[in-house]
Amino acid sequence: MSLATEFDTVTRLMQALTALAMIVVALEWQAMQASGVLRDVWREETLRGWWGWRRLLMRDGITRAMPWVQTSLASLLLLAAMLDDRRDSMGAMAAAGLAVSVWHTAVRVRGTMNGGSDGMLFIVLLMLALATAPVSTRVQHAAVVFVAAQVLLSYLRAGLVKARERDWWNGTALSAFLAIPAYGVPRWIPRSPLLLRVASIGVIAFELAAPIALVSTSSALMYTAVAWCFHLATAVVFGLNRFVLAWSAALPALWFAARLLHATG
Amino acid sequence: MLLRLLFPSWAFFDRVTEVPRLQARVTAHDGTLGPWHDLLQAPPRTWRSVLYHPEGTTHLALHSAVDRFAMECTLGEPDATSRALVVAIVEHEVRARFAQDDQPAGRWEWRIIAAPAVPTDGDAVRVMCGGGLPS
Repeated sequence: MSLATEFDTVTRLMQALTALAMIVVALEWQAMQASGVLRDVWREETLRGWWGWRRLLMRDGITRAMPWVQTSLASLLLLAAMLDDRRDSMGAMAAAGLAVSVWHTAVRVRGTMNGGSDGMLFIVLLMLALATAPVSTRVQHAAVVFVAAQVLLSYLRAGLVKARERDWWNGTALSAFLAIPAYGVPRWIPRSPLLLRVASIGVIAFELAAPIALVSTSSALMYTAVAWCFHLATAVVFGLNRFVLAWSAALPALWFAARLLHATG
Repeated sequence: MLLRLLFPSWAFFDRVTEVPRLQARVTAHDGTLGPWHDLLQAPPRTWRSVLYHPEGTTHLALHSAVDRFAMECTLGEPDATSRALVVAIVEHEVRARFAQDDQPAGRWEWRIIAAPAVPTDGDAVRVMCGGGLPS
């Protein structure tokens, strides 16, 4: 298979997974608005000063319409992933529009909704817009490689900061994180010291091993499979559902980065 | 905000530190002080929550606002907007939590304490910041 065909397959997969992630984001945003918490807590009169010039974009009507806008754009992105003819820029426009919507939500609530997952979704959307826009092949490839670099960085940085902490190596840190009430960790999650120690070392090893994904396309696939299980476990244990969605959309970029490295190296 | 989205810090779950906890209590008309209640309880989860969990996402967003203000208090630079958001969270939570209770109409107080992730009986509570709400 040629590099161009592989690039096309990877970007289509990323488009489809990102579209599904954004549909979930839109549904959650809609549910949040319906619950009244947005109106009660993130009041316009409180945030108007901080918004500054952006307040024009934060009007109630725009915020209310955002889930519908996101669902429509995500549907277009999904359609773009499935269409045979990719000559038009529908996918790129939809991805760019969705990136703007993620930024809009972050400004509306003066921060991220779900930690780093918002950042990863924003990066994937912006880079997908670039990767599927009518620009040079070099720029398109660079956009996907940027996503791969951020994925690698996300694991490496998280692994390095854990590796520096003795509490992470003996399982104490994981035990403490499981006990933080904000995460509402289910009671059935086992907490034996030995298991937590083994799990902690496993997490550090997995995160620090991220560069292995670039050794070959096979290692990229294997690392992606382990990473997906890791994010699924994080969602079950800590309730961080959007991390599964965001990283699922980003992980195919690792395979392409490995393929590109193999092709040119 | 744009830069924070494009270049996140990626330092997840790095260090066990004290966890900010938002609490509120009611003062009855006779001046009796009620006990402190933890606000922002984690919502229950089902298997569906692995992919779709609006209550959990809302909960995390509320926690982020509290954590941000707690951090500002620790640094001695509490921001007025951050404080207003926390007060709004307290009002929202108090209304939701005690709506069905037969609470006396009184004043509410709130505070953010720094608590160890794994609390023990001997822990001293360190108040990071707090305030009152109109009755």
